[in-house]
Amino acid sequence: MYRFYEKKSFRFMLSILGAVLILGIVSAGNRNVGNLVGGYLLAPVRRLLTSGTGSLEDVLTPPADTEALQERIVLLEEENRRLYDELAGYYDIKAENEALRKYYGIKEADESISLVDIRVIGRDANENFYGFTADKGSRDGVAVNDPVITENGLVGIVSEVALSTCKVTTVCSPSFCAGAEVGRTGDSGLICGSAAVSDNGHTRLINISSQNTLRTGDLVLTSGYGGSFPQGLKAGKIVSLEYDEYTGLPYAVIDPLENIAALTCAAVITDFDGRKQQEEQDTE
Amino acid sequence: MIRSAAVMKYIACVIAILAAYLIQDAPHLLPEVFGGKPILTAALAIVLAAFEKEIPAVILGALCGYFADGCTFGYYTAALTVTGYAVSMTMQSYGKVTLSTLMPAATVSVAAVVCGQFLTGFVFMGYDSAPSFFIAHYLSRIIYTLAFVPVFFPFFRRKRNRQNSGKWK
Repeated sequence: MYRFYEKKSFRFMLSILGAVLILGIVSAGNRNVGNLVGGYLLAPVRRLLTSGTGSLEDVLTPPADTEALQERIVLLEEENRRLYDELAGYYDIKAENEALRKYYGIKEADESISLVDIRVIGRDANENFYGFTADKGSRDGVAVNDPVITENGLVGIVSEVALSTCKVTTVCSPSFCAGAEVGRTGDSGLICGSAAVSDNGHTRLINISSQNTLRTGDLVLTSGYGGSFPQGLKAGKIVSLEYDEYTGLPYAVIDPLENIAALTCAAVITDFDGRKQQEEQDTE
Repeated sequence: MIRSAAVMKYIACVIAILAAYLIQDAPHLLPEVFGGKPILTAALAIVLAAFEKEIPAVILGALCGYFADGCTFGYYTAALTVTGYAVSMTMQSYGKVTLSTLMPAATVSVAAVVCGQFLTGFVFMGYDSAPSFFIAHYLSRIIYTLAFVPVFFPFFRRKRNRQNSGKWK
């Protein structure tokens, strides 16, 4: 039998493997250690790639009427020139204002909320629950466990942070958990993702009372208990009420109000009153 | 001269890995097929390993794994390090590398790597509905990743066949 383990290259492979394991253990939970290339050097390229590329399906779709499209292009180019003249110098600020204006309602409801707008720059091929990489990191004030929202409601939570990027775990992931209550009935529970319902972009409301009076269409909001999420963020609507096949306990399937799979931009809540109070309580 | 050609080859390999990573990670660029996206860096690691000796194959495999892990040291870095070594050693025993000899090795490698990821990233995490989730997502991921092996193969085909055929004993 060929004794490959006596070869120098095998020992080299083992030493590389050992180094990888040590680095993996050392950098566990700290994305900055291993993320120099992807987080820092490649983030601008990824941002550029994201803005410049759409779906390949879009590219492959033939145009309907070439002449009409040509005319439209000429008109749009003229309009574009005019708009660029108007917007010269204000474009970036205006874009940022536009992004944050969507969250004005949320900000108005709770003035203590601080927001940072983010853009999706990466969707990991190994991600099963619509998690994504966004273009803001610790230098922008983003921290682990910060809630991620859109104008439609809760999207997820920041699970990893590097200097200039962060990873978001969505409400569809089984590792996501948030205290919730149903607006109409006051029933409380936990929003917790599940592999069984995540394919449709759904999540679950578990730990609900067996005497609940929930019905489909009820709006589920964050309860704010625990200080991880502000109170009253819209998490989704109940689409069905079911029973766990093993425990027999009731749970509600929730459809988030945002299409998380197609999300391109969102906002991170970096600070709010509930968290401050919780932190004060914890220190006491 | 030969040395500079070798340096250029490895620079080209690194650029290819970076390009594969950026394409793989760009949102909505590659369409999902049955809930799975291809792991281009894993396919590339296997193709590169097939034409390299063990030590470069291990280094390139580790690099591919680092990017497959989203630029951190995780499961794929370790798995593709071992896979790079195994594929390189297996393919050298064949002498000349062809697509027909590479595909069985690639199939076993990709299946092993993705199944390992399923175990560590899904089953051991205690998530529910593991069997149906594997069929719905991971099986398509294996096939989709394998589909890129013939795509990458022609780009790296020539050199090893010329340099290394018959050297293995």
